[in-house]
Amino acid sequence: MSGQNLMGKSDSSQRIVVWANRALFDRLILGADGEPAGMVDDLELTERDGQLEWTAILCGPTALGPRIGGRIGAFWYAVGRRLRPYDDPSPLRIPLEVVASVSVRDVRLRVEAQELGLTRLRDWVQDKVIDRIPGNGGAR
Amino acid sequence: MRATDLLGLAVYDADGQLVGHVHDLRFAPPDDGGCLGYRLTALACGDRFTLGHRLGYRDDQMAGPWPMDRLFRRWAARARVVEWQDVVTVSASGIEIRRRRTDLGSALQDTR
Repeated sequence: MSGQNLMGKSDSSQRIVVWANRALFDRLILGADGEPAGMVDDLELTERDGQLEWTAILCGPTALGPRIGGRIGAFWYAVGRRLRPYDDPSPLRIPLEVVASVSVRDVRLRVEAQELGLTRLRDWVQDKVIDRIPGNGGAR
Repeated sequence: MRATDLLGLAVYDADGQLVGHVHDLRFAPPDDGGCLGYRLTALACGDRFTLGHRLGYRDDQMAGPWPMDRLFRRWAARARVVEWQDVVTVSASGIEIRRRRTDLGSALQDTR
């Protein structure tokens, strides 16, 4: 992952730091083919050597719902859980190993979004709804 | 653990006084200059009401309309930065730190 264009600021000790709200949350995720794949809804943190490390991006309604909180967040989480094709409510996980760069504008992946299952809902709507509308012109 | 598990948690100082609720997380790159392994280094804590913070008034990303900017900025100015090394325990009921609220730096200064 390249940190070159990550929106960094210096803290009191003049080290480059990144604030999650400002530079990470709600950033657009783009696949290697440039296709939008989702948004950064949450971050996975893993404890290593007594410290928490950012190890993955989580996205989808089951990641965003808890971050919104309250009744709206619970509703959003429930919608996401119902749309999942299996019982596991875990959000989609993008390990940082497949992230090419992070900037204030977007997150770019080394792989196509389809490989990570990030376009599953969009593909389902395309197959089950849009393709069945007469006169859709085979829009893809 | 997810970032969401920390966001919104109440933070209590060494005297048991409420410092605020976690608004934001600060990360730092690893010492070797690599890109993987960004470490959580601090939490920004403030009032439970986080709208001004989320809209970017804390660090001058947003300007106007008057008087919204002054109001939100005043709320955001009360936010404090808690270094992760000062965190003693993290649980569902809150975060305990080893320092006093008055010793903590302003989140406003930390982001400018």
